Amino acid sequence: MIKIEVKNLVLKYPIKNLNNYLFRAKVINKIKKIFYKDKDIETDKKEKNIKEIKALNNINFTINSNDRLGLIGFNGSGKSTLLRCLSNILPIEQGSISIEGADYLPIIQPYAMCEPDDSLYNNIFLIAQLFGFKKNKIKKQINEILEFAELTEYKDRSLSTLSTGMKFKFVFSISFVLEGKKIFFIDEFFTTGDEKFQNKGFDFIKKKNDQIIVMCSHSRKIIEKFCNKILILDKGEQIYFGDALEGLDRYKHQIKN
Amino acid sequence: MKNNSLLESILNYQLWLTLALTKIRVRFIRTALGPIWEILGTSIFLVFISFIWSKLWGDTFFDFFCYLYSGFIIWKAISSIIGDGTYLFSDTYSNYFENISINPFIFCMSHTAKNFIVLLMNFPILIIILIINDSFYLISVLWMLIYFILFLITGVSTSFILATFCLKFRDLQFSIIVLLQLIFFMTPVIWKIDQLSGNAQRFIIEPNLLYHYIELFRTIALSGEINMKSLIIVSITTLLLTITSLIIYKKFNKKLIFWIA
Repeated sequence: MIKIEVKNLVLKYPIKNLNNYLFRAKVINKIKKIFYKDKDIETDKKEKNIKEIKALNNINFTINSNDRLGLIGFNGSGKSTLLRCLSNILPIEQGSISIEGADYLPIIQPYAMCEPDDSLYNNIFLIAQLFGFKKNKIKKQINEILEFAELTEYKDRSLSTLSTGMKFKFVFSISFVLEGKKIFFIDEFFTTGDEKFQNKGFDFIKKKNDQIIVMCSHSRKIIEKFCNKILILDKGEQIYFGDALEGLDRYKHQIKN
Repeated sequence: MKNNSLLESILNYQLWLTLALTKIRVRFIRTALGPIWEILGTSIFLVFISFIWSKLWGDTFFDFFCYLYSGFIIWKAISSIIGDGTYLFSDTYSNYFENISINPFIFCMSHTAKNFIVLLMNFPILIIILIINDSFYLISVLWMLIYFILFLITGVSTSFILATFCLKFRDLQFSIIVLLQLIFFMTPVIWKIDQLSGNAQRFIIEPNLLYHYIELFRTIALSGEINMKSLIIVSITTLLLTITSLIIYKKFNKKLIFWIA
């Protein structure tokens, strides 16, 4: 039985003003303090004092096998941050995250980890190993990955020559064709592929039993099509968690307001 | 994702070796000779330098070439571990930190392995010149294995310490690179130690830890003997660096991602 349980999750994130690093800016501020005592400097001071923000505050939810949770919210609401917390990339400040029953795979910005000049074939080995798969397993399934991605004839070409849609197919196939992972954290991923491959991908995932998918997207269409549960976030706060259709209705009202 | 604990990361040799080999492959991609450029570039450079330097200092060309080659290839590996290590977390592998949960030591092992492989690529030439010079000793192989262990441990811990501190204090990265350029001229890589007077040796050479790493490698390669003083200093340094890196890891591991973002 696979289960993800998040209780009272809080994440504080340090905010840095890049000017504060500069020696030049520090000197100018000191000089300003000597000559002027106006509001601007007070504002600067206030800004300097804000060292961290609550990127996520009091998040609570439980999902089980075969649940597909959609994270939705405006820009900066904390969707990707929540995915990073679930993936153990960001250490949480308070609360707890418990993942039971299976190994997880974060698909956040997978292209950022690729070597664009290297061949597709070598990149499969690189990314799959970074995802935690062993070389033997990759070797056994590499043809299957290429076939599913419809990229067999491109295997010796450099990754940079592929279109964005092809790169989506490439990462999708590595993540889902290779067997072993049952929990997937996906960030804004399905929006790049063509509809035909999207449907092929959705069908492929839906056929597999006993897995959990948490995905964030701005596309209500994708969430509606794919998820059975939804979590709405706003400025790091949990607004709603529950049935997908009901949640999407709520989100629609939120957008109008 | 199970790359989190330190022990699992060390044992996950497939991953850090793949990362190392990928970096080497990508560096020479679309070239006809590939990594052979590494050997060719170093050899051509050192042949010309040896020709001029041996004339300047009245040494025989071949003796000086052996001396220079053995010192330069190890210097190149050390300086690359230190220099590139300064931006290992802030640049080279920053994308990985933001996308997967992974132990930072994986990147340090990959970085050290990459430089070690490049060092090994220069070995065929070194062995050939040692055989021609009639100074290839089988005992060197044993000593060299011990040296390699110390070198690899030092490489991993040094790159972790540097990468962590340079991530937090970005000015350090530039300071270290400037310092490294200075140290190159203060370390007997392209000149010989006996060209310095006694006092200069004591104040410039002895406190220089990099000298001991180079000297140990060079004596093993050229004479099949081991410089005990350098071996002790290198061993103690390796131990101290390892302990330091583990303390830093324990204290700052969870903060690294916030320093990157």
